[in-house]
Amino acid sequence: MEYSDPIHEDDYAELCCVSNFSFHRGASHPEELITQAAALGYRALALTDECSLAGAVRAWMAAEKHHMKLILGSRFTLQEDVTLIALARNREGYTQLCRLITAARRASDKGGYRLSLADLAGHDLSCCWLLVLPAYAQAPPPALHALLADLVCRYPRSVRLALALHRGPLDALHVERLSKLRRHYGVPIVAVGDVHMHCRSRLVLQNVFTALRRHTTVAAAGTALAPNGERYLRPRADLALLYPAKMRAASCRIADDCVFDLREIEYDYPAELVPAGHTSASHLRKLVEKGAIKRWSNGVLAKVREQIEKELALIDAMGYPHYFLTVHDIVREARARGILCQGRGSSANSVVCYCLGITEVDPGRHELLFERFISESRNEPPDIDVDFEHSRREEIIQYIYAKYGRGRAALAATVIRYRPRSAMRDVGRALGLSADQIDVVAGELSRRADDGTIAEQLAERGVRLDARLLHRMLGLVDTLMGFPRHLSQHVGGFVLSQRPLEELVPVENAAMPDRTIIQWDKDDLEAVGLMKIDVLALGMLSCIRRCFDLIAGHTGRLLSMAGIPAKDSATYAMIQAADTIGVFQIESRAQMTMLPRLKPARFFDLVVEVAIVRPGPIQGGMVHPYLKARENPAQVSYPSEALRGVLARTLGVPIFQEQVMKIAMVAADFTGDEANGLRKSMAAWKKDGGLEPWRERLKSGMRANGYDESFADRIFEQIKGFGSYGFPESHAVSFALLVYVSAYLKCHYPAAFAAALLNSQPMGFYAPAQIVADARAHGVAVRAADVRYSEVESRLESRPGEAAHPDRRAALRLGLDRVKGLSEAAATRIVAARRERGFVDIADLVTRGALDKRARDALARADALAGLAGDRHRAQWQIAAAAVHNDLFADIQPVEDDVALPAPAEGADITADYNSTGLTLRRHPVALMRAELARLGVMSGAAFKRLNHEATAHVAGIVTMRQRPGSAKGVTFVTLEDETATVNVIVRRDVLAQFRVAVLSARLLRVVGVMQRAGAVTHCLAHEIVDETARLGTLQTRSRDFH
Amino acid sequence: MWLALRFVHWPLDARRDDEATHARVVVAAQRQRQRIVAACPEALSAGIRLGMDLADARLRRADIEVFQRRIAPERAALARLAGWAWGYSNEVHWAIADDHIECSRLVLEIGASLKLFHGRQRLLSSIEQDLSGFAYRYQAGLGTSPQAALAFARAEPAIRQDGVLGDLPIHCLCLANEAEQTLAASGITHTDALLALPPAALARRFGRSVLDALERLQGQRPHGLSLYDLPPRYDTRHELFGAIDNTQGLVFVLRRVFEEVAVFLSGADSAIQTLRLTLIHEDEQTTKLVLKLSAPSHDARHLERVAHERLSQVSLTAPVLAIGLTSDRLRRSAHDQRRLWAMQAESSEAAWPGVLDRIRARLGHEAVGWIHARADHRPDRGSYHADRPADAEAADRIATDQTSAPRPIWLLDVPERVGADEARCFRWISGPERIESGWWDGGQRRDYYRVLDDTGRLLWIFRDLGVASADAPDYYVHGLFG
Repeated sequence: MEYSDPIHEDDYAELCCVSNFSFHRGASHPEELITQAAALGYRALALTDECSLAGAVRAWMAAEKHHMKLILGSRFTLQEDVTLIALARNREGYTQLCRLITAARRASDKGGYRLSLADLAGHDLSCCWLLVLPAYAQAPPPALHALLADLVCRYPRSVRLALALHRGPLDALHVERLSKLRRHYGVPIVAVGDVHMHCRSRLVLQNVFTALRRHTTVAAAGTALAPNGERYLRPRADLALLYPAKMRAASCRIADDCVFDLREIEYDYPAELVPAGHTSASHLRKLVEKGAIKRWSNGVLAKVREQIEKELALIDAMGYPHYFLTVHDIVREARARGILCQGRGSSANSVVCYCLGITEVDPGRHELLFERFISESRNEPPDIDVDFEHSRREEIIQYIYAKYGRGRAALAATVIRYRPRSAMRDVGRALGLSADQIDVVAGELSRRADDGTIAEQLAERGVRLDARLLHRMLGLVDTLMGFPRHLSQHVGGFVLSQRPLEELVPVENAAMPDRTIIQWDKDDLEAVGLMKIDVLALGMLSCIRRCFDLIAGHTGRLLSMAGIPAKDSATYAMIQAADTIGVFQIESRAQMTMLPRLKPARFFDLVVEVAIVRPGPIQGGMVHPYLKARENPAQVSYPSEALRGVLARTLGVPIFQEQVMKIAMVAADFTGDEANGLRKSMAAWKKDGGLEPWRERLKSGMRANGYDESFADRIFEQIKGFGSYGFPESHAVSFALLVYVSAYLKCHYPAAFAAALLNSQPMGFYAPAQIVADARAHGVAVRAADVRYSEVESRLESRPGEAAHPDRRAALRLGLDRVKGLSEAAATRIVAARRERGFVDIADLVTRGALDKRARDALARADALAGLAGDRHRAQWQIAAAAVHNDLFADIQPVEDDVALPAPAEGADITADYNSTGLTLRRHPVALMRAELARLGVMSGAAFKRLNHEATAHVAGIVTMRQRPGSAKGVTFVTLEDETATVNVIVRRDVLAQFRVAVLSARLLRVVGVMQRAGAVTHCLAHEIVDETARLGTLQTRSRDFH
Repeated sequence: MWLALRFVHWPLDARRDDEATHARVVVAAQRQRQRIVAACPEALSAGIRLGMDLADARLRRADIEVFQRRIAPERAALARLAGWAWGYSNEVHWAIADDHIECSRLVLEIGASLKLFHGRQRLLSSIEQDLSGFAYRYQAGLGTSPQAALAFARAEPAIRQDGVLGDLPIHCLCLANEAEQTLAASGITHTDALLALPPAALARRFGRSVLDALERLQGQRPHGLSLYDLPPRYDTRHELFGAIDNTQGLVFVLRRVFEEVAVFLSGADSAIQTLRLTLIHEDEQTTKLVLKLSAPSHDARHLERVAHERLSQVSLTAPVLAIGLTSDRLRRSAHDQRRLWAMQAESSEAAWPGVLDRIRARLGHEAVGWIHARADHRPDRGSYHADRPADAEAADRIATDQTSAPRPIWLLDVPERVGADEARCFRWISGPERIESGWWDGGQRRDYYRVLDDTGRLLWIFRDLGVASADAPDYYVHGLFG
């Protein structure tokens, strides 16, 4: 409906409506509200969430779809407890609204807002309609008079009284009170619905929200609950009975006067990076040319040159040069500071990004598609993700804030939504279930049985619920799922702007001090055309940089990412043997079992490995055909020569998203943009549907090219399956690069690599104990943390008597950071004091290191004092004495007779090692119980590995990992470690049921089963499982469970 | 000679709810996790241990029944038990587990009572018999000081029986955490090694704390525990686990309550003549009864009989959640007087306004009541009847909470359907007021109207929105405006 239409008798425009972005208040999604308002033939709908525009973009998109007129506004409950609604009349009004929301949000902690009558006086709202919504049937409080008087004085023409009627007991009185106000202030009345939900049935959920907001249950919330469900989008006929025609017409006129559309917001990227005498485009070209010379020192190929021109032309045409310059600047700054960084994701499809140093992958060497990154027809901004060292990302974030100022840089929001467990918890709470009952119900719910079975299972576990209540509860949980709960900060998505951001979108405080977020998330940004750059953190980059530093420090050799030799056969041999603990990505259990089968022998194999060894493709049955094809490449057939071109690299199996796009382009004549549209639908069809139109387009296109029907169907099905797990090749390539580099370092510099891994903890799949054990297994001498030698972090030492060996065979000295309970500050003091002069004895150490009790005990227990005090017992005894006297009587060394202390037993030492540093350099704990285990018939892990397929196995070890991959159909994997090897145990569902407690909670397990051998890959299929944790005594071990 | 009794599962045992059908545990929040602080034998045999995470415990036994720890009833129960212990000793110390005390416990000096009870064995078996009667689980230890007795009570059974102090592992001594850890980390595992260390070396490392503890352990220093003093009156509160809504159930519970009174009185060698019984309902509303005996008594069955009689005159207005007991001053009992006592109960409500009493006497007790407001949109739940005035605070709360909607004073218990002819004569004054609420316990969707009927009465009628009506809707009269 066009707003210029004359206003009819039964027309209605809703000016007051909150969505579920008014958290715990509105009970419908913005899309639902728009759809329903359109269906009811409303003239317009104003979305007026509480001090928020977080739902605005979603509503706007829905409004476009349904040709519904949307008005953007917001409601505020002032500190004085009166309610005001502001509606944006035009572009300027929208900016005023954004500023007001920003000010109110910034004045409060995360999630809240604060606005008083006095604050309001400081804002210009001349381009907004201002609706005052008095409380129901109450005598107007002084604050309401103050608000009205103030508004009427400042904006005499744009103030209205909003009348909301909901069939309450005192409607007549309410109308009368408003009429009095109208006469007194000369302010007209408009009809509003004060809508909280799109349909009446959401009342139940709305009641739940009310209870939650008041921290009570629905039964105890009493009259705080809405008395009825009238606050929904009511049919116009009902409204006509309730409100006088004049008031409804007044609402429509206001709606007609609001002409702002989100399309109007003008957004410019910061422009300061362009030097004088240049345009943004010419400057970008200059940088790209410079980069191209660096990348291709032997001259740029014609094909590449052509691609550069194509990309630059498009970037210029779309108005993106500033964006690329900004990203370039950030990456340049990181490089200047020696922070490793690397672009990931679709930007790897761009030669320009490669030339600018944003990405490290030459798109010419891979079949990458620029359309995947930017396209002309698609009105979506490019999205560049860059990984930085996780330990130094904060420096980059601070650089961005400093460079652009807080007013022009903010993080995107992430909308945290209800998930099954949180939905269950909140619904349960509102229905009066105890925390304990909620846990039980949530547990049962996750198994997704039907209501009846759930009720039975709950009863079995001591939770008895009325069947109707349970049904109601499950329905509520269902509805609540996917509802927004609160805004949080995006992991690293920065939005930058030439003008203050608060003119574009409200900005609010995040949980972290000094962080601000905008009220829109990445989907909103994309829809509105705002550009963001993702400043992400990646642990492996920190590890690699540290490794480079360690190597340089020890050998003087300077390595760099680009300088790592390609095609190193020793590295590939190591990867093929699945000797990859600590290596990026391919260190997980699933990856390690796949490596000996996929046998990566070149870089592209690593790209494939990264892309397919993930839950999705494994479930999707993609891995098997690929393995088969690899074993017998001659057998692979292609439906056409054209498709051979697309699929030959991956042996006929489509693995990457780009390939699916290419198939559509080659076989069905899709344009690049159409193909990208197909990709996007692919990713979303399970959620939104909408793949069917593509089916027709694809099939007719393939028919036209002479492919038979069944092949077209097969391809389409493959695309459908692909949707949930497709991986962009560009992304896989970026990651594969890190895989290769980290594997190379592990292969050639095992000591430095292990030290770098330790210094970058926590990261990766393995605990320090396993990293150290693995390094020792590779011949690295590992030395204990010791106050006489250790630095704060682990480092490399030369072996005495040997000159520093150029490459390997350096010894790894564990850092003081391995000592649990020792603060970084204390470790730093120890190292600094030692630099002045070595420690003579414990008292000297304690005094000069200014060590408090916690630090002293931590060092004694970690055996880091051995050189100064003897064994652990003596160290502890001596350092306890140093405790009391260190400050007052530092110079007095009271003479103390030697006390006879027993020497620690080996077992006790090992236990203490684990408990104080998480690892031991002594014997493995299982070695101590080997004799007892042997009496039970237990074999060592090494002996197990030598068994034949199907042979009976009997193993025991410390549990280091538990996993239940979604792809494994209820099977649980447990990793056991003994002094000889690690054994992977498979626990089938029925066996798990029988030995549940042991499997899920034991720290030392004994397993009777059979060997499952597939080449070098071995598993122990469990039949019987015994919890042997008691044998560990007080030894603390750590398992990485269900990660 | 001291006897220490450690009640390891006191948070559960203090509840004494023998009828539970499930394996039960008690949990308390510790460092933001729910941890087991007491478990029944069944739960223990399933591998559930104290200190375990609740989630962990559920892995071992999915159907456990879980209770939150409640300190007040635990404390009340142990205080009553201290009264029992008074029967064995005049030096009794008691404490329930908290941040500083590792386990709920009673410590008794029994040296002075040995003669009275004809020797240690007899005394101990008498104590044992009593405790097993109460179904309390405990670990006992004997020592020359309270601290030594407690230390033995913490030790493994083998050492507990007849060990020497030196054999005790140092963790039994309950030293300050830091000291214990330092000693253990220095290889000092048993008390004999600790006693062998030079006092100066200990003082240097731990100040006086370890030396003091050792001296207390050996009885070379006053034990420093607060001792129980017989209270002037019996005053306690029993939390019931599960509300009781009928007199029958109440009599059953009271039987056990009075048994404890009797045990206490016999321990205190005392008797009482008046016992005020307070039945505690939700929101701390109470019903008060006074049991007055014609002469002092310590007999449980006497109390029970009096209570029974007294209860038969009372109707329970609301479920009982707890019972409070307060006696008059304890009197030293004269043992042979028991049979002379007779019982008689008396109402404490003699102070009711006379008029009200007379109306009640004439019309029956139930005929007079109060109407109280309750915060609920549904009219028939918006008020309830009670036989006493509401406390002022609650009334205020509700009055300010509700928009003063027009409501008739008189609501029909069962709404009356209006005939079609009758409805035609209505004059519609206002409405509809729509009420949709209470979906969590049945639910109601109605449109209410105020109408004048043909006799000029102002009626409150409604139409049920939940019932689809083909033609003319059915109306019901729900109330009558004054």
